[in-house]
Amino acid sequence: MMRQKYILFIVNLLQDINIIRPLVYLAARELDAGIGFLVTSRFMQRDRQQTWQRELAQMCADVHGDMFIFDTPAEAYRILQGKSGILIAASESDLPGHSDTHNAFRIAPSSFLKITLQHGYECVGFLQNREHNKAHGRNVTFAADIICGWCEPRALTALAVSERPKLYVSGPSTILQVPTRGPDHPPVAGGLVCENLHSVRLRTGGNFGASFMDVFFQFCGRLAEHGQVITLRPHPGGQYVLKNNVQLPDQVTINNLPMYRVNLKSYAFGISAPSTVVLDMVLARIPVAVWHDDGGVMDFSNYEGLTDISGLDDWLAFARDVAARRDMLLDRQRRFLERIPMPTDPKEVYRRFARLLANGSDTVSGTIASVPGQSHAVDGSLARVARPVTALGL
Amino acid sequence: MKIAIIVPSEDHFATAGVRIRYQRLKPRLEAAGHRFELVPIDTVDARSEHSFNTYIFCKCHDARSLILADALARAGLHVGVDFFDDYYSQTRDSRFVHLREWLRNIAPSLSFAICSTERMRAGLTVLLPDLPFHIINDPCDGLDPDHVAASIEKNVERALSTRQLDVGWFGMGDNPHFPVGLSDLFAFSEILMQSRRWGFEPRLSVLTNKRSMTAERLEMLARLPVACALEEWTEELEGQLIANSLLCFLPVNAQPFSTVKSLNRAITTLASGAQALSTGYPLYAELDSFIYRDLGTLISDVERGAPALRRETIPKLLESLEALGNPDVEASKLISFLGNMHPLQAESAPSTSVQAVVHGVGALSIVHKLAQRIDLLSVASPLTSLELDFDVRIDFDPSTGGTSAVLSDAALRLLPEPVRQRTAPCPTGGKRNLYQLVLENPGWETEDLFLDENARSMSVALSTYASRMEATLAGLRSLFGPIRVYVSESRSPYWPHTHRRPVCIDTAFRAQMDAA
Repeated sequence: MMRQKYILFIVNLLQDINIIRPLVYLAARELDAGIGFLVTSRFMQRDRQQTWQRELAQMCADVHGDMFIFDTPAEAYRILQGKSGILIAASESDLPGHSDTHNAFRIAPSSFLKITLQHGYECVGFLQNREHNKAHGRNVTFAADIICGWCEPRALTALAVSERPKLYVSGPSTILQVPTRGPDHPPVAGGLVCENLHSVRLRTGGNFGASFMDVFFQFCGRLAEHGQVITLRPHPGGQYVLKNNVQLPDQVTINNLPMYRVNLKSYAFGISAPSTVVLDMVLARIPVAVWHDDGGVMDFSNYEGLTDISGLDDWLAFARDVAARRDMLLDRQRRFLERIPMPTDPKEVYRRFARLLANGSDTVSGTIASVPGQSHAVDGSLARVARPVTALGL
Repeated sequence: MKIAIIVPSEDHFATAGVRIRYQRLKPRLEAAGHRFELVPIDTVDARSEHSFNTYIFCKCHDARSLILADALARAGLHVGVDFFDDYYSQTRDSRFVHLREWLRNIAPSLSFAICSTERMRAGLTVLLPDLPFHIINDPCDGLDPDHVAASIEKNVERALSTRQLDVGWFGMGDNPHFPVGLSDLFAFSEILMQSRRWGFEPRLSVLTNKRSMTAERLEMLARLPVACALEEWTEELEGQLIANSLLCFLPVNAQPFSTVKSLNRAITTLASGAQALSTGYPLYAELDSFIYRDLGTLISDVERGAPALRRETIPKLLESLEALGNPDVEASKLISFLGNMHPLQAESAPSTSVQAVVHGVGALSIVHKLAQRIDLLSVASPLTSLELDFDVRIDFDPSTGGTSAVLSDAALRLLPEPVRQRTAPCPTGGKRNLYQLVLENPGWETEDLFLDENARSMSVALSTYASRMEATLAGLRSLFGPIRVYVSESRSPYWPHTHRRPVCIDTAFRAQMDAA
């Protein structure tokens, strides 16, 4: 009996799905290994609307993968026993919020190569803003063997010295997403405003969320005067507006689809507080503005070079520029992309990931001997939970 | 004879110590006409129900045992403690102040003590020199020679044909205070790797308790140099694992906590049909001829078809087990020991009518509940951060600079009349009737440290601990007059040193304890 070789993706936060998805299909296409999903029980609890479980189940079916659900490190240990290959996580670090994933990496047998993916443009342990530093400190570390960064090392200013040798510059996995517009896509209405009010960026230095929503409502009021509409997109993990039942004006459409199902290119413009979605919109080549508080407390220096807006006048001026000087805005964004040392060619990013996964899965041994016949190990409660689940109960 | 074994909860009925020692003695003692029961501590009623004449406390290290042992001893009943672990003799270890104080406080109530090894007895008699000790060897339930021989032969044959060395490890993987269990396995695991020298691939299976399976310990298992399968321990799986293993690995480290342990892992291993390989401290020396100390010898014996435990040597093992832990013999020795105890006199009348338990920094709600159930006052000191419906709460009052007491109805009833007249209804009581009064200033030395009640730091708690607790005790005396007080403290290094009761300890030990 050979050890079973797997490319196993850990799924813990809701936004992990968006990051791992392109690599799941890449691995299925390029590698001769089983694909598996190691899903934390907390992921299931977080996904109250089952949106992401449906996405996960679809992905798992597409690649004929196996799915395992674990609650404790012991269960993860038992699932990984006897297997080898690559373990990939989209959110792993020594921060408490990532402990499920971090512990799974810690207890993984040495037959696994462990890879942590940078999961956002600004991302703890890779590139942090001032609010990240306040909330999490500047020495975030990983249990991974390899960490896949979006940018060249000089731009990843939060990489701890101990983690630098682990860095592999892959570029963002999300650039490999091919947007697939489904029948459930809401009508594309005006510009796209993205909220990430749950984020430490908007909480650590003050209550910036309130002022963001204030100016958003004022902006909506002005649009209404001219019969214009707008789309609001809640952060996939935070879902602040929906969870808190924030009353929205009539002309606001909600787009809560996974990012890879959003027809980003069709929106007239994009506005967001500092967040990875800014980069998504820049890459989709629509005019983008980065919102910040009018007191200048928030740190948006990692987005320097893009149009920044604060009060209502700025929002209106940006909307006017979108209509009158669209090319100027897009040219500004092109220069921003040239300045940050990040691979943005999807083919190049694909090659980098494919090389990493192919080499990684070759270097691990798939033939540690186990003699045929009955093992002397006994099966109890851990063995029962370590079996693959056949359905997620959707 | 009517014997109660008092354990912290029903969960403890299944723990290795209680299961191996008492569940195996129970049928023998009952067959001899004695009553012998495992009783969770919370169901013992110290006031009225004396269904037993001998009470043995096991692993009950909180103030509940101090309260009950004192009450039972004063009622003229024999009270003992079964010492499973040595948390007391390491006097230089500041983590165990509360456990050493627990021993010091329960000692006057004891008329005997029990332990499982001579080494444990030797350590504890230094601390409790006048107390009669009885050793109960872990009893072995016997074995089926044919069944054991068949298991051994099957495992030897499989090892030789597959060149696979099936190794089992079972038991508690952790201890709250000492690195044991899985830590020992990790520390000594290189030995298992040596089997590759002789052409055998080791394959380890581990059965252990859920609590021990933390990320830190599982990380150790993941770094073992041999493949390792993990499962949660159950008694049934333990039997299966041993029967399917060629050998069980029994590493023992040499810290004092580990060197006084009983032989039960080795006995269980051998009686279930696996070879025993023990490294580190020679804990199992009494079973010498069946204990391998190095893997090379074991493998060489297996290769020539003559492992230490085999069909021909099983009679010798039975002889050893008979001498080390025959349950019938252990049962009758226990009865004989207890039967020789001098009868005790019950106290004719209670010396004081008011009894209280005073909670310190490490207050426990289980102690509070027991206290109220058996009509003791449950008293919160100024150091208690737990919010419970205490009968008395003594606290520093920043508004007046004095000290106040807040009292329940039960406490109010026990106050002498002149004191009761000084009380006033307390407006913050919510649904409960509470009464307050200002105490005479007991003279806090460090009251300014407590100005911010929300900033309860450990350093502040430690620096003010002694004076706060002493003042609390003084406050109680000023309220109730003569009062019998028990201290409930579950954290080191806290303990009010003026509240030490006279304990039968020799001068040398007292000096040692004081130094620590």
